[in-house]
Amino acid sequence: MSVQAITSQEKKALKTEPMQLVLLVTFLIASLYAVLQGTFFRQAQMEAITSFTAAQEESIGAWRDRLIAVENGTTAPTEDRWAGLAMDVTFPATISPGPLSDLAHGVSDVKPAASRVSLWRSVDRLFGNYQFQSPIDTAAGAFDLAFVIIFIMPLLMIALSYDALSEDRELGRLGLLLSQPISIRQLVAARLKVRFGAVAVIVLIACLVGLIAGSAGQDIGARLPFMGIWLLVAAAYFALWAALIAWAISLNLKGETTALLLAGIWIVNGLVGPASLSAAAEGLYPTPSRLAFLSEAREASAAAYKSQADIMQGMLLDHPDLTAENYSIPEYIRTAFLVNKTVDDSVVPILAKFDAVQAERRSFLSKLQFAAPSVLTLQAFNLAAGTDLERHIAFEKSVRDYKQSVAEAVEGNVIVGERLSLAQYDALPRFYHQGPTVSGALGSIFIPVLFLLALSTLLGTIAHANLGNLQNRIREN
Amino acid sequence: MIKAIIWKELLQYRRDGRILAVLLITLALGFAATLNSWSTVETQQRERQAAVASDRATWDNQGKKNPHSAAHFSRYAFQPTSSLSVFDPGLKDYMGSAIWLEAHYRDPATLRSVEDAVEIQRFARLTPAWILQVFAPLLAILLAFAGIAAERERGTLRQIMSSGVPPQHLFVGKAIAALCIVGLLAPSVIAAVALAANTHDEVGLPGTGGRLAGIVLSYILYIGAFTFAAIGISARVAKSKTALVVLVGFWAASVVFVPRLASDVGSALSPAPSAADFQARMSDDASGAFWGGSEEAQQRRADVEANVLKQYGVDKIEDLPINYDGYLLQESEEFANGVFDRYYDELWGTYEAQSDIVRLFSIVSPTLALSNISSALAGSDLFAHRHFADSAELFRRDFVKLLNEEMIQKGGQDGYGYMADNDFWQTNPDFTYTPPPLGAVMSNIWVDILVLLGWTFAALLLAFRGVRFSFKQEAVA
Amino acid sequence: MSLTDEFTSGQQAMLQTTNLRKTFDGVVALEGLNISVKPGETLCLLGANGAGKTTTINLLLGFLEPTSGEAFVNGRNVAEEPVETKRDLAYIPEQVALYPSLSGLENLKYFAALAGQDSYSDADLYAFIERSGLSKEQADRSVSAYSKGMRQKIGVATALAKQAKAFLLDEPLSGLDPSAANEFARLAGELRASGAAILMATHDIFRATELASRIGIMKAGQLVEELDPQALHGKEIEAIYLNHMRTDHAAPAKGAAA
Ligand SMILES: Nc1ncnc2c1ncn2[C@@H]1O[C@H](COP(=O)(O)OP(=O)(O)O)[C@@H](O)[C@H]1O
Ligand SMILES: [Mg+2]
Repeated sequence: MSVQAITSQEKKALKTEPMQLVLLVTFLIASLYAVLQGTFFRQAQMEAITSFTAAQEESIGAWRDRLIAVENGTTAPTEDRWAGLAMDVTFPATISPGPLSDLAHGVSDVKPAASRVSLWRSVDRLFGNYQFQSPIDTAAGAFDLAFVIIFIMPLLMIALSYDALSEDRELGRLGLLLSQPISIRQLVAARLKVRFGAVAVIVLIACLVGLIAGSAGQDIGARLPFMGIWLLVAAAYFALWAALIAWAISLNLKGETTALLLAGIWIVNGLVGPASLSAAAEGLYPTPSRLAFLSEAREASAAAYKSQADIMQGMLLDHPDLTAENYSIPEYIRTAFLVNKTVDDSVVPILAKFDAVQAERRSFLSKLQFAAPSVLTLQAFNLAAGTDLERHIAFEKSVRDYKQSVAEAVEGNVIVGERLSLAQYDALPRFYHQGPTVSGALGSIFIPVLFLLALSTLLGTIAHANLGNLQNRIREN
Repeated sequence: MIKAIIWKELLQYRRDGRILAVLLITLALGFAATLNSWSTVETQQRERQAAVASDRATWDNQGKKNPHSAAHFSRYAFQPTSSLSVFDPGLKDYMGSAIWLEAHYRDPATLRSVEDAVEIQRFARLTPAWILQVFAPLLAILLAFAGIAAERERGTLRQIMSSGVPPQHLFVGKAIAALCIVGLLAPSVIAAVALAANTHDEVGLPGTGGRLAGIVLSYILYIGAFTFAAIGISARVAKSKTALVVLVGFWAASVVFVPRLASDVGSALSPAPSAADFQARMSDDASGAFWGGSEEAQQRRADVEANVLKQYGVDKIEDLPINYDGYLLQESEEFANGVFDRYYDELWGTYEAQSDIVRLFSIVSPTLALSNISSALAGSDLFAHRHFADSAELFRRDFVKLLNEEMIQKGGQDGYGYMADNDFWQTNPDFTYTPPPLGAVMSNIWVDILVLLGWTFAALLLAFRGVRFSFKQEAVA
Repeated sequence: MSLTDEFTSGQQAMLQTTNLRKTFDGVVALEGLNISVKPGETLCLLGANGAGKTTTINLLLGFLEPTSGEAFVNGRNVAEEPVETKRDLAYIPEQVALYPSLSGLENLKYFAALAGQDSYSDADLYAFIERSGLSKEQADRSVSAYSKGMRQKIGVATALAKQAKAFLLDEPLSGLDPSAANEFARLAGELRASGAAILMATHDIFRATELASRIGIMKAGQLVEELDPQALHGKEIEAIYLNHMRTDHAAPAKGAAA
């Protein structure tokens, strides 16, 4: 019996053995389901952003038209005293869906993606009420391709191959097989190649389907390089499991023990590891209390309301150029501005603390992620998909900063109660948030992927050596 | 005879290092989870207490303010964390914990813990319930997968049969022995309960004793189901390794795969509305339709005016003995409340439809049934949240009405210019929340209880008939 | 009337089958078997693979239900009282199966308790073990390192502990080295002397000659001849046996009546 014969026999078995076939087909269905639901998920994200931006732009356009009308004299200034009201400037701020948010939803399903930046809102309420997602769905986590690859794929690989050597030994067939011109290494390699190959093909098909289906028309080109990076991560994780299973097989244990060992590794990798690491990260670096943050903001707001006169005085001292005497618009507008400004300033330290804690956690996990490949892979997947926590936190911060910059730009007009000029308005900054870059994604997954590959090489080498020794032992007997 | 079987099983377990290892690891994880969960709950309760106090203080000392301005600032309802959440925090982290009780609007609960969580938290959360839901069945499988298959492989089954042991005795002995070992996980549950008793629960759950008993019983049923299923499968398949692979596959599907799939399918079939869309529609219907410039809105306001004039038998607003602005505000609230009911019923409807779809999947995953029961009894499920949110909304309506009444009665002709002061604020009531009684909780989970009972019963049958079958098979071997 | 009936007349048979017939999906495994073993007797069944020896034992154990006919243990019908009849039986297969993580003593304790004998002290159990030819030290060792012979001794000790009246031995000698086989033969002799009824299936004509009170030759599910080993030489028995194996035309019923 030659290597080819083993390979072709294995290929036939894939098609004819009911158990293997059922497992593979189920996996295919699960993978396709995952990418298709991902496609819908991403489309919904896109649509939400597009329609939100469109609605905002429309009202911005209407607002600007009123200002133009006043400036050209089409409308008399007294007729529309709200036109060009500085307090009323609003701009949309959105985070574009990650390039591969369909494949790895990451945190993009719970984090806010759009803000109507308005001076009427203090920074603690910048994102409005967005918490309408179903808690059931949020709690369970997404059935995306990242989940399928991290969790289901290795279990399938284990089920298909834990028995690749022990079955023959337990049936007493091993001696017979090895009396043919084939080594144990070749035998194991031939079998694993076919079984793992089938798994890899399914994953690739799913990725391809996902890439095409999830691309809203023109952005397939932009997604392609990220897809490359994503596949790199997937391949490294796949390689790790392939090597791990080969290593377990090479220990030449009973089939039952091999299965137990691999299942144990799977559990530690996928469940115990992430649970312990997330509990450790959150326990060691607790965020400040959100409730305290809320109380602080409200207290600041109430206090500012009470002492608005003093605040106004302070403002005027800071800006000797401003005079508030010929104030023509209602007092409450200026009050709201000042109150919000006070609140914004007062919560800066807490928000900075939130960001600092998240940064600490990130650095903690970036070290400890090497203890659980599933953690490392998930983070790498999210990074390549643009759905990672860091990106969303950065987005929230940049929206706050942006609001600050708009507030500073129109502050004078609000205090004085002066209409914005069109030139002034058009010169206001627009929100821009840099999307993930290919080089950035590549840079952040580089070390993790390298680590996975190094670990697989190590395990593969040990497996190789073990199988060689086993061959020698069998020959000697 | 059964005693002898139990004795021998326990002896074998004691000598099996794998079982000892898994038991110790699970216990350690259980204790770690308990501590972790306790400190989270403790923190949440402390933070809530502080927030409630701060909310009251800010409210009481807001100084001179128009009651309607105060209604805009308003207060917050903070959802209490039940003590039993130490055991099972359920959906707590995924649902907001603070609801703003502002005028004109019904807000969703905000400040979800999940938004401050690390990315990997959604793989796995270290809580006592999670440990039991995930690892107790695994331990049961480890204890029982070889139960019958290994006896057959070794040939001891025939010898047992020749001793005149009836199959049901063998089954009972083995099941009791396995359950005894799983029972050794009890200390982590006891620790969780002990720590739960040591929290600052201001809002005690009614029927805590009954809830606790229900939790214990449902976990026993759940673990029993897995133990029986393991024995049953072990009796049906030829080899213990096959039993292991089948059982671990079933476990992974039940614990990890199906719950994600179920909620995913649930949210696909019954999608929650997009936040922007939901808010826009609700605010159009609630506010726009009353305060807007549409004919319908104008008519509505005209009707209010006509009615109140008629009621007081006067011709002009100025002649009214009450403040008309306040009256109109209250009328708008009454109008909007109906709209809020409609929208939120629809929103909760989509969540509840999702949870029904998820429930359907509990036919293939007992873990889903158990987690429903467990979180419901712990007061941390969707129903508990809705109950809180609905109570908070009722309070909001009363509270806003109270403020409007103040303006109606005392506002006179000042209307929005009327200022109430701390003396008034300090007489305003607090929101006191009473969680639902046990009976109401039970009426929500009886289906889950039936499903879990069904699972346990089916597994019992499988085991019972399996062992009988294995005797028959062995007799002719 | 069969030889067996003549021998057993006057004393109640401990093991008995009457016109026992067993088919598996129409394939005949036993065809009207009549055997009987009294206390203090050893009946050795000789026969090729597939002759029906194990099926006979399975029927006596109540593992199988007879297609027709009856099996009796100590006068009770096996099919009617499956549990009670097992109380009197000890079953020792070719490979005595034991739990590798338990010691010999623990295995003994377990199987004795399964048979309803759960009140023995350790001293009692050691006594059974020593009677079956194992030392205390051996009994305390894990059985994972036991030889086949040692396993069989635990099997015998279990039978002793169970106070079995009848022994069903299914090829207990195959695979034993000569000295282990010799020791087992000695044990079997002792058991018989102590009044046990023994039914032993074997391929070993010479051990059969040595141990049996009677030898039954089975072929295609029938008892084709019963021989008295006291009256015949081993060589003669072998010749008769081989002759039966050659002549596949011999009508079984006649053979049994011969
Ligand atoms: N479970 C079974 N199913 C079908 N045929 C069987 C079964 N057990 C035994 N037989 C058949 O019954 C006959 C007697 O078998 P057995 O009693 O095992 O013979 P022996 O023990 O003398 O070698 C054989 O032809 C065998 O193939
Ligand atoms: Mg046989």
